[in-house]
Amino acid sequence: MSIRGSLKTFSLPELFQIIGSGRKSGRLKLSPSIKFDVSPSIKFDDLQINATFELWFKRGYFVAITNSYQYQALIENIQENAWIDSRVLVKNKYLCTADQPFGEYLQEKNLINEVQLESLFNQQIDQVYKLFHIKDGSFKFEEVNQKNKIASDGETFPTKEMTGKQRKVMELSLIAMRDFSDWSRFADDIPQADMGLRKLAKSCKIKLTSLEQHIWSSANGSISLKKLAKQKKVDLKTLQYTALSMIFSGLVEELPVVKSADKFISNSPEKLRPNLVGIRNTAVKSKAKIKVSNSLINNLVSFLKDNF
Amino acid sequence: MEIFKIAITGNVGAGKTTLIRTISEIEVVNTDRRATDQTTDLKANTTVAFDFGRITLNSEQLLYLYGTPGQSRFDFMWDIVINQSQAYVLLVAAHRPQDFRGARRILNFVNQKGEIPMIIGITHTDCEGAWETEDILVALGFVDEESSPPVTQVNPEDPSSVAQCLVVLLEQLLSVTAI
Repeated sequence: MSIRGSLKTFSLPELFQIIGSGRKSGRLKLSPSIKFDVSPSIKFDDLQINATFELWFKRGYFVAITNSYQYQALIENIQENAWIDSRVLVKNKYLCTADQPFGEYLQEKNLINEVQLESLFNQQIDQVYKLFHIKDGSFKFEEVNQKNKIASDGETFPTKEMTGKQRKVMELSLIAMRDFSDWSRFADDIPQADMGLRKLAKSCKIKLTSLEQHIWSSANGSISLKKLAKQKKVDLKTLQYTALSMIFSGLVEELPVVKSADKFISNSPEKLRPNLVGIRNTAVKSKAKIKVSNSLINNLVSFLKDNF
Repeated sequence: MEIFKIAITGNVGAGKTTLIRTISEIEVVNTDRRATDQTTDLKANTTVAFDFGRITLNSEQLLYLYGTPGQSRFDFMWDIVINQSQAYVLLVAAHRPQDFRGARRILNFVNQKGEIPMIIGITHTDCEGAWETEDILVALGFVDEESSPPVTQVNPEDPSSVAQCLVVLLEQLLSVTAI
């Protein structure tokens, strides 16, 4: 897989959705445009204009970020915290094998502890969250080959920048979008008020906010967003934005509400609802079985093959 | 008279109208024209808001092609077109990733209305910035081959390519009915 484009037409949440749901391993290069327009509430003090970022993923998990202005970010962060003597750190950098994440190696050698390692990884994650606010720029995602290398330039996972920790991209995406104040760039993606939602996952291990939890527990395809907002007594727009962030995070997807049957189902005792939903789905499917003679289809196939 | 009805759906610019025009034996009936005899069974006695094309196989058998409305909002016209169709083609323009989410919405919408046989027709594969089919499928929510419907590349301007696309759909239908 190799895709490139503009963040204006294909946003970072959408890219994360593909990487996460496709369990992709590879490198996402991001080059924010010079005049990248960010929310004033987000301070980009540690991100440089004109910088490029490389985000690395393994089987749908985020594992590392590197940037063009910090040559050895992980080592610099350890040095800043003075957790390890600089000479010891440099020596161990060369002793660590090329295929082992440097953070994991340092922990194995008892040079840093779990809390410190987690802190280093969280610093990387904070950079990722900030990137979600970039509205304009270019991206290129390339999968690694069987040798864990990017085909176009032979680059491989930046183990010296890796802590050995990983985080599901869907989770990062959901948390990053909680800070969005301006959703205008997603205007075309926002689910319509009369649409419903359906769960895409059996369970959700991410710690959800109260509104997210309400949406998640009601995502059975039988209730519209408008009704959900009314139930929860929240502004419809707020609910729609949250629903979109859950769609981008691969937790739910939007679909039309089947009105009459669902009204009946929602008015029925809770323990009967799963069975009723099943009956309704069967009815919908059987309705779709439209009788067509095989002779008509076969004649059509022959006609199309012979005449075009 | 036996009539087989296929809906051609997809985002604006995916090639729906072009595809129907390319293969229809009649001039395609387009938005805001009065309904004709053939279109009245979809929407009687009013203006039509979709493309309609026809192919006559013989004196007893016809193929109707309906293009879904161009606007992104699903209204009653979508219900009418989808409920009347026996199969559908979802056209996806490979060079417009910004439309993949819309295509996924259409898929969910149609499947919720009744799971009718379908295929995905990938258009504009020769355009700059076109995504590979495999990547488009992931964007549409098909993360593995088993869950994916049949996919074919189609040039809506090329009659033989359009015919081939419809053949793939019909053969899919035959394989479903054989089961």
